[in-house]
Amino acid sequence: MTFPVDIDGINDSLAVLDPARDRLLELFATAIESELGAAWTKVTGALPQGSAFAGSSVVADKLPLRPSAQLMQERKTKFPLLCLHREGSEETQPFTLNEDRVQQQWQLHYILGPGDVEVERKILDVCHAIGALVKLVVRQRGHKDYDGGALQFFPESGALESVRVLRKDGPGQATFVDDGSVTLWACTWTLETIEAPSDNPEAFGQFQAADVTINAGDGSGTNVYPALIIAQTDAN
Amino acid sequence: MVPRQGGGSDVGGVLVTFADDLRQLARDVRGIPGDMGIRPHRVYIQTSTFAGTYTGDGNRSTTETELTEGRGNPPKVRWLKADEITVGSLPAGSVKIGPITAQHPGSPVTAALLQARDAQEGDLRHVRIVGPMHPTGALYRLVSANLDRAIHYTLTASPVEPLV
Repeated sequence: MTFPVDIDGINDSLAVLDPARDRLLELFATAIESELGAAWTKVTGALPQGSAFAGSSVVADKLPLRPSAQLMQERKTKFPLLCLHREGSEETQPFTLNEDRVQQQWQLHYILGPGDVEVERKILDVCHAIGALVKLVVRQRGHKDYDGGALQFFPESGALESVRVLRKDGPGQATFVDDGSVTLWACTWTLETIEAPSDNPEAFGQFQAADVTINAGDGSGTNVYPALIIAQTDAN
Repeated sequence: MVPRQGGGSDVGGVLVTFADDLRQLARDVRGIPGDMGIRPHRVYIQTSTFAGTYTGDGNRSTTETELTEGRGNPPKVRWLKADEITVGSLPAGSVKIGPITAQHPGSPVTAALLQARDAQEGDLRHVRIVGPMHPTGALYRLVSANLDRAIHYTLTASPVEPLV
């Protein structure tokens, strides 16, 4: 991200300042629809008339926000709902001489909604499949049906150096339900991203040094990203 | 003449029950405090639709319907006391609206309206209150709609923004 913010890129929302979030959400939603949509439709189509899931999509609603109790009161939701949001602290660690790397956790929620025992038996295991799919999408950095199958998270597509699935919680009660009156089946995945610092030489200051060792790695996320190393020597 | 159901009669092809008769009476009576000027807060059920990809994106289109009692007067609005908030696990500043006379022939106030059932997926649903507490209006979240009584509906709502 560079400052001042490009005002031409701002219309009526500052959500564009965090493009990684919306891209991640759309990527996961597209992959789930693509890989599980037909199976979901086949099973839910056979559910009794009147079931909330009859004729639904495997991702009926999506939202790049935290699914809080207040949000659910304000917003009319269709289940299943897919949500993604940043979670907790952002950790900054030294990366290069002039750049830090930012480590951030996220939460991805797949909220199936309320259902009886039949629903629990017939469709709850979709959470298991989504878990496997999310890991696959993260490892492949994309999906064939999203953005023409292009690899994701480069500086122009979200600027995430790496994405990792840390943990899956559920299926169980959705995190925002605190009174326990109705079970809203949900799964939550905790992701961790490392955001790549932008390669903007103009932003770097000068430093004086002698006998410097520069380690250029392979860009795997654990080593120095070679494209970020720009060294200029001064004859003086 | 359609046989009366619970004391009702057929008026213009619409079955009017004894409860409907009572609603007419209740609606008129509940308008009396408003006639006297002691119902200072007007209440609206508001639905907002957004033109963008996600809720909150793009232009916002809002429609609202006012909750009224007899002669267009507002219903009772009462800010809940500390013990009611504690017992109900509600946010500070929560209100109880009602009694509301709903499902009355000719009235726009229906059970569906009170629950904002006509809102589409992704729409926002609010209760807007305008009056001495909120001269420029304030939005509340609809926490619950108690519709278990035929003539006596109530809403509980909590503020979106803190009260000053």
